[in-house]
Amino acid sequence: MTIKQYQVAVIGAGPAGLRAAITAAKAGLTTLLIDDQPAIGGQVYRNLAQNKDAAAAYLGSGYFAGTKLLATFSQFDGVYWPQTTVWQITNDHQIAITRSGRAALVDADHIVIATGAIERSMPVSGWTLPGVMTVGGAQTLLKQTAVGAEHAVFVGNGPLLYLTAAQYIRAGLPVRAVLDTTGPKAWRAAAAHAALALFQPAMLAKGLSWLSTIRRHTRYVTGVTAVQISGDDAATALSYETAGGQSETIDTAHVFLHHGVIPNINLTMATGLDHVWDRVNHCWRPVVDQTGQSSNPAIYIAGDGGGIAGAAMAALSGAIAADAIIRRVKPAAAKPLATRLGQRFLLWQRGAARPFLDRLYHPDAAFRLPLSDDTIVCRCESVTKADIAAALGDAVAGPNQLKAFCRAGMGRCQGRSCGLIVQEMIANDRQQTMADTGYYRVRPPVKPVTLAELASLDGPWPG
Amino acid sequence: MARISKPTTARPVVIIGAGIQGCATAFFLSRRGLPVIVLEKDHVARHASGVNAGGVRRLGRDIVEVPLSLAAMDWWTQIDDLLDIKNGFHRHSYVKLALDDKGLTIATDRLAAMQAAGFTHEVWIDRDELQARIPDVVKTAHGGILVDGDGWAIPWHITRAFHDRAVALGADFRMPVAVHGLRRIADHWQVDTDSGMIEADYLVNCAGAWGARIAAMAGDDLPLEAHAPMLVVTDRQPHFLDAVIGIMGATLSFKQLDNGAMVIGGGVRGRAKPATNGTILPPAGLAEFTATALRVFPHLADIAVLRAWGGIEGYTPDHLPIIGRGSQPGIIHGFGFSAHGFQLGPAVGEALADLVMARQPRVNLDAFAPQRFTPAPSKDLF
Amino acid sequence: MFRPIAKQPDQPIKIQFESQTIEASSDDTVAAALLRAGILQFRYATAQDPRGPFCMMGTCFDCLVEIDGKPNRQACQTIVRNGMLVRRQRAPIAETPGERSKP
Repeated sequence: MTIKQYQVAVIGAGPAGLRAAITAAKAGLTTLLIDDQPAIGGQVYRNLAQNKDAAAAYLGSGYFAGTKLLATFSQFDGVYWPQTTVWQITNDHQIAITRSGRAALVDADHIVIATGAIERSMPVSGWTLPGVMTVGGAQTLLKQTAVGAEHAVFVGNGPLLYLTAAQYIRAGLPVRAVLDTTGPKAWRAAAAHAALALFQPAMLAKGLSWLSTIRRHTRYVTGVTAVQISGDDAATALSYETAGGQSETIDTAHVFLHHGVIPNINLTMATGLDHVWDRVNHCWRPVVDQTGQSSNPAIYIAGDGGGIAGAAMAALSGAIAADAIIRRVKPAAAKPLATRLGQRFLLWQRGAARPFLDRLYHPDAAFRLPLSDDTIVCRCESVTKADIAAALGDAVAGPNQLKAFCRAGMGRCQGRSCGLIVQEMIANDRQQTMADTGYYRVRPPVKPVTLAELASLDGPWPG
Repeated sequence: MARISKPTTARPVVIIGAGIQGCATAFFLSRRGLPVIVLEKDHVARHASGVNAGGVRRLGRDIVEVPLSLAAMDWWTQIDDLLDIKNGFHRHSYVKLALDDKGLTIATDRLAAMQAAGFTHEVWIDRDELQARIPDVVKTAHGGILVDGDGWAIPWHITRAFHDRAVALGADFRMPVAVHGLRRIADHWQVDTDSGMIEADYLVNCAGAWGARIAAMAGDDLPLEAHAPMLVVTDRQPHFLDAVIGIMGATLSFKQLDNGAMVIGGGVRGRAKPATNGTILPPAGLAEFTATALRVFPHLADIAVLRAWGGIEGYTPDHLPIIGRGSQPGIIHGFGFSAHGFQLGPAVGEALADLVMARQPRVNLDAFAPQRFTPAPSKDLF
Repeated sequence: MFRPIAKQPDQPIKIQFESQTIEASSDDTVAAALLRAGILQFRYATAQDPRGPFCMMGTCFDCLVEIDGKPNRQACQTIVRNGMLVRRQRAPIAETPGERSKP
């Protein structure tokens, strides 16, 4: 059944989605905010409303900076549907959802996709063992439930890793080690953009303070070039090597991995929007203009889903996207030119450090690709590096043909875990660029939908 | 096998399209020693032949297709040996259920028609026998039409195997190479491609949903519409089904793979965009046949659909394929299979190879003649 | 071992994991409740391939458990309910080709 029409539907209730929805509704547009979580905040501001008291101070000022935005949501007079999953967007911009066990189609004149980012996979040997999680996953557990692991080892690089390790330490959780995989090449590549980064002194200062906390309270090992996790039924130890020739085995039951986040492109790709290979960030992102408008003029992308830029940028891009829609639908309510120019400046300023950070924390090939033959690449289907190498021997044209040969990419996650790894393995094998190699064809439903839910699409809608 | 004398020619047979029809034709021609070039604009089994439901059935065929289907089944029963593969044909049975009174009427009429035509492979099974064979099927089903010995295959696997064997026998597959024009010169054809011009003694048009486009280049104006029949694959379940299931009077194809996942299709159409290899999958269409699947197997309500897709397929107005010689010498058409060409593939490949070699095909192909779509020639021509 | 770092809110909810009773608060996800109770193996992709929560945000699909008889539920995306029955997910089909497993 088709739900009544909205002028704007926003997908995702993180900072970008919240700002977009609030902005659109305030201008008088009929607005629907859809999110799959039970509460607003997305990943970065997860459980913010519940974490108000001082006991959660270890989460840091960046986290609590979201308080104001979340508070303005109380004045949102649009429709808000939490615990609602979007599984398809049609090319005439209808949104297929499931909610309370039923499916429905939402008619929206404009859509803002603000589904954010996911972790970039780090396929180290043993990465599928219980006890191994992404840094983001560890941080989510901390924010949501105030639960953490003792004596964990953090592996990788990037702001989220340093922040989470610092949060862990401030929360009183002993951290066994932080193993930094940033290589010397990265510093050289980043140096050219260091001056620009000085336009974001507060952000740099924060990063330095996290690193200082880490250095003072745990072992901080730099120049890590290889990592292996071992265990039978769960992780029990981690071995590493460094560029300087160090090698060691650490006993640990918990390993947290992170070397960057990437736009969550499954919905945008399944919707048929144009995407481009971003060489600096080594990921796919949707093609958008300055307002976030995608290759489908009715669909806008806001926040990290359009390109990684962080929470402050996300909120601003949500406002800009909503404003662009308002200008199309109800020009009288749109922001004046001066405000838009101001927003453009802020966008630039809040992104000034990105060229530096993106190059400094560019994921190293050693950690983008599996090293041992028995390392699982496609987690869903348990397809190993050796399985894929064998299939590559059949002169596979690309990731979609590879799927048929070895099942990599045919699982539930539709490539979220293995897509970039497989793409790079094929690119290397065929000696072609990542852009030319292409990516899996992502199909709806972008999240699994039960037969009963699908079948109910034609039925009555309880609301 | 008797050695057939090759036509004396320096030029190859050019097959356009590396789906099941093109690859099977390439196999049969290569086996007989003819030089074959296959031109494929994407890669082997990229379209309908790689992503269809994989039904290998004689059941439910249009009556004029039955002989071709029976001939194909002869090949299917020896497909492992033919193609040097393992477990190519999952052979068990196919049942088309009579779910309701409407289905029962259709089933009764069909059985009478098949009997009158002398075909005995389709038999009725009643409610008790159906429940005994498939305990999870909905209890209200009246029964169904059964064909023992039908089954399913993985379409990509089989098409790829035909390709592999053809290559081993000397066929030259050129991919990705698109055909832009066809010209008849004296006693042969010139094929314009995006990597140069190729000369051919014979052309075989197995271009699927693009078949009419290729036919037009050779002066044959044949009707074809491109659509994208949709399928879904589900989560894995412990094994409960060996038969392939359809429904009399409703659109469904339902099977369970060896790994426990279910492939559900039947032919509900999405939109095809052949120029860009794009497909559009309407959610309401997905809901339609998955709802039908739940009517048959209500216990699967909480099983998730992981992914949906559509294969780009060509449909003729009468839903029968176009198989036969074109209006100019040296071109043979084999396309327009309207979403039921996979099982026919081995027999079609053999027949197209026969036509190239000016041999009488085993099966009468009159019902599929391209000429059925062209107006009768005026008396002035004679 | 995952442990709480702050005083946990009231945990009036009781869920069952296999033969174990686990306490949880009303807005815990199943994944958080199980991890806090020391359970790391949520499923076995194959007998030698144990998995647990990895991303905690619904994108890795490794935290799949059977909840109240329904398979393939993402534990990190499901909020606990009093009396919920959670079981480890096992691969439905035996690994040996041709072998059939019992439901």
